[in-house]
Amino acid sequence: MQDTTVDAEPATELERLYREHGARLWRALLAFTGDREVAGDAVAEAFAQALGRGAVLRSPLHWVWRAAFRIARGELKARRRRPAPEPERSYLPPEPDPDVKQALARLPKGQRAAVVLHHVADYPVEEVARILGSTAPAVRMQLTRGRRRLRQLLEVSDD
Amino acid sequence: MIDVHERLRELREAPAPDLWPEVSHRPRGGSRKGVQWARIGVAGLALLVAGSGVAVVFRAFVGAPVEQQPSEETTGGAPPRLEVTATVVVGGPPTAIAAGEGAMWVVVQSPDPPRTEVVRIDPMTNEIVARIPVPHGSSDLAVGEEAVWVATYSRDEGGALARIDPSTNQIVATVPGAGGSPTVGDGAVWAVAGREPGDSSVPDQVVRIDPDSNRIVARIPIPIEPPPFDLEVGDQGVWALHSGVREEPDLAFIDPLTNAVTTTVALDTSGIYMAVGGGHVWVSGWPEGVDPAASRYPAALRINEGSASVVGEPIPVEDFRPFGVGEGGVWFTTWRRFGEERICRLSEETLLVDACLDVASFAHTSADLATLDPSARTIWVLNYSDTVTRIDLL
Repeated sequence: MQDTTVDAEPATELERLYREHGARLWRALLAFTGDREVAGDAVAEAFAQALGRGAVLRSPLHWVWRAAFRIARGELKARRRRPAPEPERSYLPPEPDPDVKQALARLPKGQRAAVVLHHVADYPVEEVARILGSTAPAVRMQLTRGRRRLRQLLEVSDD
Repeated sequence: MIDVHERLRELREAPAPDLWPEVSHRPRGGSRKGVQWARIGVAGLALLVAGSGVAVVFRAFVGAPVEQQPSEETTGGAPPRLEVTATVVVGGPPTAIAAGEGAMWVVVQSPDPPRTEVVRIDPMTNEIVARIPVPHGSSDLAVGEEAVWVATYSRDEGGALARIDPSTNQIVATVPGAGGSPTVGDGAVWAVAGREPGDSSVPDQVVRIDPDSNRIVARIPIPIEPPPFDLEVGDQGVWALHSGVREEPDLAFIDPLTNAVTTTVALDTSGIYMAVGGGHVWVSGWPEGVDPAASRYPAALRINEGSASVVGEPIPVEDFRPFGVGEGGVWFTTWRRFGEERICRLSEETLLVDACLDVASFAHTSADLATLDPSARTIWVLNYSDTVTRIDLL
C-alpha cells in the first residue's frame, strides 16, 4: 500500500487515492458488513472526513481504511436499533453469495477483518497488520482460525 | 476441502460504484449533522450550567469522538497526557463501572434507604441522566449486545444477571444461574456461574448466555483453581483467570466455537486482574521457571492469544493491575505504598511505562474500579467517596 502525505492539494491527492484504492476498500467493506449501502456510506464518509482534515493526516490511506471500518461498524450497530432504509432505485451491484455473506458475518470481528483484508482486498499479511494496528503473527493466527471456521460454516451450508 | 480464497472471488471481483461525487459533495469533516449540532447544543448547555466547565465544553467540541467518527490517528507512539476533567457525585459508594451504549454505567450502593442502583452518566455532559434500581446487591456489570448486564446476588434467589435496556433504562430480563464477572463478546454474554440460593461455595463453571433469548445456552467447567474470578473476551475467545492463591493452571481459554476450554496456561500469577486486547492477554506474575523470591514484585506478562504462550521477557512493573488495553498501551493501576496510587500506561511499542497520573487523593486502586473507554479516550475511576472521576487522554 503506497501511502502519501496530503500537503499541497489534499482534494487532488485524496481523489487519486480514492481512484486507486476506493473500489478495493468498498469490496472489503461489502465483505465485512454484507451490506452495499453501509459499505458505500462508510467509504464516502471516511474520504469526506479525510478531506476535512486535509494536510493534518500523515498517512491518509491508512487513516481512511481504519476510519471506514470504524464507521461501518458504527452504522451496523445503529441499524440494529432501527429498520434498514429502503434501497434506492439506482443501479446496485448484485448481492454476494448469501452463504458466503452469512458465513463471514458469523466470524468474530478480528478474524473477519483479517480474512476480508487478505482474501478480498488482497493485501499481504504485513499490510493487514498495519491496517489493523496488529502484528503479522497475530494476523496469521487470525487468518488460520478465520479460514478454518469459514470452511466449517461453508461446508455446513453446502450440505 | 473448501478453497476459501476461491469462494471469496465473487467479492473480490464485485463491481464497485463510483463514490467520489458523493465524497466531494459531503460536508468536510463528516456528514453527521445531527451529531455535530447535538455537540454544539450540549456544549452550550454545559457552558450555561457549569461555571467551571471549560474542560467539559472543550471535550464536547473536540474530544469524545462519536462512534461514527474516528479519532485522529496517533502515529509515533507519543504518550498521552492524563488530565482530570470532571468529578461526578453519584450518591453513594461506587462499586463497578463500565462504558458502552453511549454512556458510563456505575453500580452504586446508595445509603439512604440502603439500595443498589445503576447510575447512567452522559459523557457528553458528565451528568447523571438516569438511576436504575437493582433488586439485589451487585458489584459488577458489563455492557454489550445493546444491553447493560448487572450481576446480582441474594441469599434467597442466588446469583443472576439483570438485563437493562439502554433505550428505556429499565430492567427487561433476568437470567438466573449467572453470577459475577460478566463480559460480552463473540455474540454472547459470559459470566461465572451464579451461586445457588443459600450456597456459599464458589461455582467452577462459566456460563454462556444467548442475548437474543436471555437464556443460558452452555455451562463450561473451568479446570483452574480457585474458580475463575475474571473473564475477558479477546480476539480469539474468552479468557478466564483464577481467583487468587496460586494453583496451576491459572489461565484458561474458552473456544466460543465449541464452548469448551481448549487451552490452559500455567503462570505463577500474583494478581487477580487481567486485561485483553491487541492480540495479548496481560496479567501480573512470574512465568514458569522464574523464581518469585528473586523479585519483590511480580512482573507484567504478555500472553499471545494465538499461541497461548508468554511472549518476551517479564516486564518489571511494580504492582501491575491491568484494566484496559488501547490508546497505544495497557493501562493499569499501581499501589506501591499508601499515598502513592497511580494510573499508568505501559506502552505496547516500547514496553516502558511512559504515562502516569497520581490518583492517590481521590481514587481506589483496584483494577476493576477503573475502566478505559478507548472510543472517547477517557478513563473513569471509582473513588473512595461517593464520586467517580473522569480522566481524559489528551
